Formats: sequence, C-alpha cells, structure tokens
Amino acid sequence: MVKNAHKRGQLDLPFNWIYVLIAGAVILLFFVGIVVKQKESSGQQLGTEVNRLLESILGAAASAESTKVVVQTAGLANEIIYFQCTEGVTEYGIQGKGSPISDIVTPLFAPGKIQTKELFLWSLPYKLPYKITDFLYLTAPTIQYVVIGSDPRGQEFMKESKSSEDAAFAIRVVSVDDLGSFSPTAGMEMIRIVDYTGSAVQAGSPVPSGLQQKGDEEVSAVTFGTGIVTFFVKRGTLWESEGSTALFSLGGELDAVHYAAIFAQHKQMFDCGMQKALLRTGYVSKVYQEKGKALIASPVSQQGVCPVQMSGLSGLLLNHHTLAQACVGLYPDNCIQLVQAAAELRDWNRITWEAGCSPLY
Amino acid sequence: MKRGQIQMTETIAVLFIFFILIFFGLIFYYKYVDSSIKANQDQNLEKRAIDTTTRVIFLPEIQCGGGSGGTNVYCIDLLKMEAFQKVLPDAIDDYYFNLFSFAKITVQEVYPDSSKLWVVYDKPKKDFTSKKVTYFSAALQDTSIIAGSPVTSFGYVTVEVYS
Amino acid sequence: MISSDVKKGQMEMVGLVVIVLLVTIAFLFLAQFALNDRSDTHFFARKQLATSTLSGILQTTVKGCQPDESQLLTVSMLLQDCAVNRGGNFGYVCGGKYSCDFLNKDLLPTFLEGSLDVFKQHYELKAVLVQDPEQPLVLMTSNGGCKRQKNVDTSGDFPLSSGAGLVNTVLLICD
Repeated sequence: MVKNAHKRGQLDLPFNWIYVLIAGAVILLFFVGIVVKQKESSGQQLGTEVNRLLESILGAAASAESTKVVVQTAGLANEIIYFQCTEGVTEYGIQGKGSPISDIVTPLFAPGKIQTKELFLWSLPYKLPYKITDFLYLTAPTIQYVVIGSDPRGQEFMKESKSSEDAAFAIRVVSVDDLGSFSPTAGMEMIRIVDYTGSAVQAGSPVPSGLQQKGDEEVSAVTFGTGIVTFFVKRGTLWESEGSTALFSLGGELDAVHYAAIFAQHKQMFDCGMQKALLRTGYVSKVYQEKGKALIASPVSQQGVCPVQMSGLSGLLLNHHTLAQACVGLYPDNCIQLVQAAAELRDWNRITWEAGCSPLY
Repeated sequence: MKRGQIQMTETIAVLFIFFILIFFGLIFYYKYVDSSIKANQDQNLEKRAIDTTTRVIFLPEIQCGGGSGGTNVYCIDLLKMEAFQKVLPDAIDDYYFNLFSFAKITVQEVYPDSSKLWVVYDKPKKDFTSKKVTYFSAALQDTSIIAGSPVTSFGYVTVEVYS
Repeated sequence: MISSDVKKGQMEMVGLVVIVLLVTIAFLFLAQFALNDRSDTHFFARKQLATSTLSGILQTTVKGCQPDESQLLTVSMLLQDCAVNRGGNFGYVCGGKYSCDFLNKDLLPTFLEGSLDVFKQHYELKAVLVQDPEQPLVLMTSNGGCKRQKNVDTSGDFPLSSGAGLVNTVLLICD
C-alpha cells in the first residue's frame, strides 16, 4: 500500500504541473486575444472620432465664408488624410482607419492625399451672380505652389496666401519666370505648378529636371487660358493632360472657381466639386425665382421707373433657373450659357439699384 | 473526512465569492460602457445641433444680400425665406435632408409683430430618443416695402435636432 | 486546535467580505467620474446667441418717430441720438418718449423679453459713451446682471460714432 501511495504521488505531482501550465497558457492567450482585439477596435474608434472631428471643422470652415483657418494635426502627423470625389460625393478620412466621411453638399478642393502637422482651410463664396454656396479649399505647408506668369490672378494668389489675422496661415507660394530652372524648396512633399502663360506646361513636354526625382503623385500642374483651365499630372519625366474644362464663373476678384482649379489636385475633384455647386445653383435659383415674383408684385416695384425695370426680371430668372437645371443634367456642355445668364442678371441688378428700385440681391 | 468536507466547503465558498465579484465587475463595466455610449451620443447630438445652426446662419437661400451679391451675417431676407418655404417641400428628400437631417427650423418675429412665425424646415423623426434646441437672434429684412431702405424686424431662429 | 481553526476560518470570511466591500466602493467612485463635464459647445452656442442678439437689435428699424414719421430709424440711430440728447429735451420722439427713454423703457425690454427671457438666459446689455463709462446710456439686466458670474459670454464690442463721441454696446450672457 505504501508502494502504491508513492507511485500515485509521483504521477500526481507532474500531472498537477502540466494542468497548471496548460490552464495558465489558455488563460494568458485569452487575455492577450482580448487586448489585441481591443487595440484594433480602439484604433478604428479613434479613426472614426478623428474623422467626425474633421467633418465638424471642415463644415464650420465651409459655412463661414472668406475664412482662413489653421488646424493643428500634429497628432495625425503619421497618418495620411485622403480626399476623393466621385459622382458628386466627396469622401475623406484617415486612410485605413475608421469610417470615412461622405459629403454631397460642400464643394471641397484638396490634394488627393495629405500627411502633415498642419492643415490650411480657406473658404470663398461662389457667386453666379448671387451667392450659391461656399467653396472650401484645403492645403498644407508641405505643398508648394509655383506661379508662372505675371497674370493679376497670380499676384492676387500670392497676396491672399497669407492671412492678416493669423500669421500661422501661410500657403507656400513662389513666383518663377523660368520653370526649367526651378528646384523645389527643401521639405516640400508636393509641388503644384500654376501656369498663367499657357506655354510652360504642355502635354507631352518634359517635367523640369528639378522635379523629375519626385513621385508622380507629388507633382501636378494647372494651366489657365481664356476662360479655360487644363489639368496636368506627371507621368515619369513627361506631363500628361487630364483634360480641360471651362471656368464657370463671372471672374473678378477672389474668383472661387479660379482657386478651386488651383487647389484641386486632379480634374476629377474639380469637376465633382463644380457639379455639387451647380446642383445647388438649381435650388438657389428657384428660390430667387420665387423672390422675384414677390418683388415684382410688391408696392415698391410700382413706383417711378420700377415697373419698367421689373418687367424684365421674371424672364431673366426663368432663363437662369432653366439653364442651371440643364447644366446639372449635362455637365459641362450645358453650362456655358448659364454663366451668360448670370452676367445678364448681374447687370440687371446693378441697373435696378442705380435706378433707385429694390434690387434682387 | 470532516476536515476534508470543511476544506471543500471553504473552496466552494471562495469560488462563490469570486464569481460574485466577477458578476459585479461585469455589471459595473456594462453600466460604465452604457453611460459612456449615452454621453457620446449626447455629445454628437450637441455637435450636430451646432453644425446645423451654423448652416442655417449662413444658408444662401435665406441670408440677406449685402449688395453686389455680398452677405450679411445674422440677417434673414424675408422674401427669400418665404420663397424657400415654397421651394423646400419638393427638395427636402433630394437635397436639404443632407444638410439638416431630422430637424425643425422656425423663425419667430419678436418686434414689431410677435404673432408672425415661419416654419422653414420640418423633418421630424418618429420615435426620437433625444432632442437638442439651439437659438440665435436675427434681423429680419424686408426689401419690398421701401425702395433702397429695407424694413428690418427683430426675431429669433429655433433649431431643433432629433436623434 | 479546533477553536483556532474556527477563528482562522472566521478571519478568512471577514477578509473576503472586506475585499467585496472595497471593490464595490471602487466601482462607485468610477461611476461618479464617468459623469461628463459641461461641454464647450454650450459656450459656443451662447456666445453666438449674444452676438446675434445684439447684431439683430442694432439693425432693427423703427417707424413713426417724430419729427419725420415716414423715416425709418434703426436702433443704432436711436442710440446715437440718445448719446447726443441725453437730457431728453430734443431729438427723436418715438411713442411719446425721447430716444433714451424709448430705448430703456419700451423698445429694448420688448426685444429682450421676447428673446433672451424666453430662452431663460441671464444677461446684461450695456451701452456707454466711451469717455463716460460710469453713466451708461442703456442698461438692461435680468436678475442682477452678470457682474459676479463665473461663466460669462460676450457679444464683443459694437462701437458706434455719435456727435457726443464713441458709443460702445456690449451684451453679456451668463449663468
């Protein structure tokens, strides 16, 4: 019996240890699994929260027109924020993390990808001829804009690249006479050529030697002609055209469409943003059409020369609204005449104001 | 045998207490997560209320024109607002719902005629769980009475968002 | 030996009970700290309310004032007139009162009772001649104003030039 007890003891002890090891390993694996899953889900949650915060910031900046805002994103310095726009829907967020934000309302013009410690947000009203919506431009201090030519729009861009209220807002813009000898400033991750001459960047022509080392996605260009803008991307050592489109605006100072073409890295983003703006034009023009009817019928429009002046208004408003709808239906082919209708409305408004009658806007 | 029984009872009691502790821990964790989710939802709703209010303040469809297509903040053009009321029903589902979601936007005149009230946007949510209300005041401009000088009333805008 | 075993068992049971109590208290503390602080969005909305209210008030027009009843006067113009004609002997007459009285007794109470009082906000609306800030042209408060309050949101300064000097108007909203 003693012998049996000894044998049982010899079996019991190692058996206990094996049991402890296996049970311990299982429990440890269980908790490690929970920790790893929690870490992943936390990462995704954080990504979603950051995206929502970005949405609030962009929404606020877009609503308040003519604002220049600097957003600190040092916490996201290792993340890539991406922007894309297809079929009238802008999607943006942290690449690979969280749920991205989709926006079908705000026309947003930005590079395809940004990795930066600071974001510059700038909004301008789009008027055709009255305010339709605000355009939101997004850029970073790591993006350099190279202006070629002595066009007043280029001078205006250089002036507007800084903010009088916030010294931190400083878009990196340089002016060069000869693109061939240009070398990017150290630390610039992306280069955007803004050519007002129409000849510095052409399809099939070589990319300046100073830029050939850069990746294809890091170099792009836009050329302004008379009422037309052409987008270019770098393909190896040559420029490739993404296509041209008309500038659907009345021009003048701080032309929102002009800056949209500068800040949108690709033609697709520019077109997509413009389509959003023109969709909104359809609704806003309908509101003005109804306002026009009320204004024509109001007592103030029955005085002096106003009845004569007001008689032309409903035709102009109907024309503008019809063309806005046609433009949305077939962008960009049907949109040129909309700009003309907007110019007529603008002239009518100015004459009405000068005649001492109540203007439309 | 009695000693063994006592020890067994002791072990069972310890395990029992252990599982009760785990149970309490789980209940408290559940309550914490639940209140955290509710606080998050509340915060999101408040953020949405502010975003919606900001959009209303700067809405081109109702905002006053400052001449030459410019604008005037905290100012509502009454003719445009009434026109927008007519245009909105056909455009809510296609477009404006993306701007305002489930919300109610009303404009109340305070002076000179406090009986005037306009419901600009109304898209209620069935069985909403919570509601946030924000206000801002506005000048209500009417350009159809005196040429060159808008008659301006005082009122406020109520923005209610639902979740 | 049996009694010392019994005592040991009792001690162990007491120990377990103490652990359960400690853990319960710890969780109660956790639950307390899970309560949120007041959010920033509340203050943003209130500042916006202050700015929009004062901006709206100053733009509002009043009709039917002497000497020219057809003339549209803005509240800004009435304030400027109040600064110049503080004594209340000449200037615009609206509703049978000179501009300072009309603003303080009729017009501004109507605006504020119809808006900020409806939103149950505490406020202080003050308009002063910058060179004589101790004697305000306009002072409207609810429940004693905002002097000793902790959280105060301001509309910012709305300056107006008048014949008597610069008039500054501010609206404060507080807890």
